[in-house]
Amino acid sequence: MTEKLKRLNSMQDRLLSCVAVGDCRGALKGSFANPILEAACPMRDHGPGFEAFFARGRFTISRALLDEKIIPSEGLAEVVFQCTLCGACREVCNNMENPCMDVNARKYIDDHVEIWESLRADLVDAGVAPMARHKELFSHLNLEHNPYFEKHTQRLNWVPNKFKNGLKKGKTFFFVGCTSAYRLNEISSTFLRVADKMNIDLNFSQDEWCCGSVNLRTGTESAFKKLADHNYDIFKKSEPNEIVGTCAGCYKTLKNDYPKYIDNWDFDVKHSIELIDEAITNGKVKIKNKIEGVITYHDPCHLGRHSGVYDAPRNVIEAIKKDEFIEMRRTRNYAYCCGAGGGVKSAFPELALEIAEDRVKEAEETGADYLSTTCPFCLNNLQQAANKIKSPIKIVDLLLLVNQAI
Amino acid sequence: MSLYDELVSIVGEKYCTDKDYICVAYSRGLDPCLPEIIPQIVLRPDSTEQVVEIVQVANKYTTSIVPRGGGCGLMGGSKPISKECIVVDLTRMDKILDIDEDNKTVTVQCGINWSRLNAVLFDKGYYTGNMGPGSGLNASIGGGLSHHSGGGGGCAKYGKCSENCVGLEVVLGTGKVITLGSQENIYVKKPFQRLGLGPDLMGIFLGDNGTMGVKTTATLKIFPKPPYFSGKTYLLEEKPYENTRDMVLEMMKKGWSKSLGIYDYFFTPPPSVLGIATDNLIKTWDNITGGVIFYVTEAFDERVLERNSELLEGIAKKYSTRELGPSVEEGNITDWFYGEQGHWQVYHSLLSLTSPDNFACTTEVMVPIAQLSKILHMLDEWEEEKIDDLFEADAFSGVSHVVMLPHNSCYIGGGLTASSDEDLKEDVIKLWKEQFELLLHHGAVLYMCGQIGSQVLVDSRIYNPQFYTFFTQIKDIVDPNHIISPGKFKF
Repeated sequence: MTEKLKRLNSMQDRLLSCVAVGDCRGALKGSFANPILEAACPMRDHGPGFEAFFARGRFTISRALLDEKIIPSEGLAEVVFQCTLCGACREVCNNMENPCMDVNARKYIDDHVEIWESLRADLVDAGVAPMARHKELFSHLNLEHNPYFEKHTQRLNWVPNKFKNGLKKGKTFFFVGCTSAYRLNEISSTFLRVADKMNIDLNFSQDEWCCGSVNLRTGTESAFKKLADHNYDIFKKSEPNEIVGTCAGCYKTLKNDYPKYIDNWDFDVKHSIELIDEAITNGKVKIKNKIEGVITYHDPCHLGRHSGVYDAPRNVIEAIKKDEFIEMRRTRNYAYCCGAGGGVKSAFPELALEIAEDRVKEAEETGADYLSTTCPFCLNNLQQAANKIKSPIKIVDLLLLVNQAI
Repeated sequence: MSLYDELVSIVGEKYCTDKDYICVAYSRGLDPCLPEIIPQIVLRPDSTEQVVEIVQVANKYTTSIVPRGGGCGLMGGSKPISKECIVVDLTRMDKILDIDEDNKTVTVQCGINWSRLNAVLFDKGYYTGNMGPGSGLNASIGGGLSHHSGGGGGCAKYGKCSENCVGLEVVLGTGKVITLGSQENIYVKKPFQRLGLGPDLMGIFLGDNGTMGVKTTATLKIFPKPPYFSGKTYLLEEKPYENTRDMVLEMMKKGWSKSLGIYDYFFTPPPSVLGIATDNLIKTWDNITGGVIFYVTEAFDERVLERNSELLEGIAKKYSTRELGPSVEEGNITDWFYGEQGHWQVYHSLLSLTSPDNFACTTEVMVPIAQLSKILHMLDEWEEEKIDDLFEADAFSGVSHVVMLPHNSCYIGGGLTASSDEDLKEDVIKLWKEQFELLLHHGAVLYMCGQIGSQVLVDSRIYNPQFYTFFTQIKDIVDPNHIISPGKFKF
């Protein structure tokens, strides 16, 4: 054993609990009597497809590292980082799908993604990770607090004129996130309009930094902590009743990860779609123009599998649709990943795009006009894939449809 | 060119590796205590032609080949026994080549797994009947055929998966490709029947544990999936072994799957029921003592289902203490097993019962149902006799489940659960082998052998010497350099 792999070392029982059945690669799920789907690891269908690229192999690799059968290397890191951290492996692993059944291995192993993130962090500590592209991002992030090679001073350039001077400083803190701030401005600006229609007063800050998700997913824990601490200070000064974001990645990081790293974290974190769902349910907003055309929905891994938010977007779609809402074959906790997560989009862009192409094709099978989602990162990757394969389906953030409807 | 370079030239750099951090993932199977040896090279071909070339290169360098499907073997079926070997990961050969609804067959590349295949078949209203091995749906078709697998669902009605194979393409150790079944006739366009053109030579390659060649393409029967099902679970407090045997024999006399539609019938003996209840696997079995049986029956017509259910219930009640159910919450797990679960991972979930400190050494045998109670009692006696040895090895012996097959026999899934202590592994393996030998000497046959079982078969001298000589001669013909799956059967 080596002390260098301190995180893996602390997880030995969890690693030993994998009995190597291998359903994490792909397994029949759903009901035998009703439609069946095959939940699958995206790395099964893309990349070289060796065992080392999916969960069972990664458990073996982790054990072999601890037993010093192999040593940390850049080659190994390249394998380990070819994973979107989507967590489909966790959903399939010994999932008895009935509250009357329980399997110890499932309990012992617990959250697979946490293990993969720990493996990455240990490889970073060992000096063989992250990937070169991640290092470039982090150099910039350290200076300008965003991974998009943009200036921090331009973080709020997206704010529409209408709101620039007239924004009321409300008790709902809008954590904009880097993707909406620097790339997909339409999402952040649309949320301002939607919140305005719902009479929710938002507050946001020029001093917001990246949430740190990209650091945490790629093993640079100390840099993540710095970003999280800074954002925590901003939140404390603002004293919000709640923090809301339009990005599933920021949402997961603030909601699930910040409490693990920040003592006394007690902020209520919501995704914008949850806020909208509440507003529609409570009658705070009326649907005026129902959306024509068939809609399907892609569950972002960070919002769905990692955070359990499945119903809110569906409730909203049900409320705003004029025509049909048709689910994709692999949906909710068995949704197929868009391919962008876990640092894959930045370090292995072709791989990310290949996976997204599969997802777009799956959406096309429903006959939908709109493939909606609630994560700018998923949206971006799915849009690129749709363009590449010349898909007729319109990839939209659900917020945009909501804005049209209310 | 080196061996590695030649292999790269066949499958491309992307699908060939000699990196230890990738190859290490192939040092492991579901068996927990055979040595974990990192193979020299792993590669992932996508066609029969590539497999042929790989075998030719392996012959040139006299390097052994370990074919590997889903890697779900419980007895070292796809594990290297030395570093100097090539693991051929066949999971890239996962195409469905043809679904023939008229002939009711599906032709696949053998690396496809039971899960993916059935996901596609379900959409068309079919299934493979036998849903593959109990060790998981990630197991491949090729692996299943190599081990006469069952236990993953449908065994009572459809038997072992190899019984439903009507066409097979194998790359021999010579590098030649042989096609078996009705396509032995060059004028047969599509495989439809296993027998009819002389002796059943396909049988040489079924249950061979991957020793006689590399299976590349298979044609399986497919069956329309009945829309209706029902199932019952019963507790057997008195003489559970005898009562299970007698219940099954009576159901068989009444027609079993052919007229009663039985799809699956499982028996869990009392110690395992206790273990399941203690570990809360099936929470609704809490506080029960005794054995448990459950069965599922299928039908195309609701009235037929009702009639069959009544007949089965009448028989089951005669031999049981009481019914558990009717709901899952009340202990009838069949709605979950068949209706909700959607797949059949009962057995590997039982494996997962073991904590990180323990592992399972599985002993899988087939016996006649008429002998079931005798064999189970014999295993109990062996456990008593070996109590000190088991204690010293920090191991427990037991039977986790019995799965009924059509006609006259059943699978017994048993073995040892032992401590993960490395120092004790040798003692555990010794006891494991002893249990195998005991079963074999009492007339059991193995259906899944892997490294450990196939070697015990030879070491325990249960083989008729003439047969073993013949068996070896066949191996010499199909794989003269003995490069495929070395170690097994002590060839």
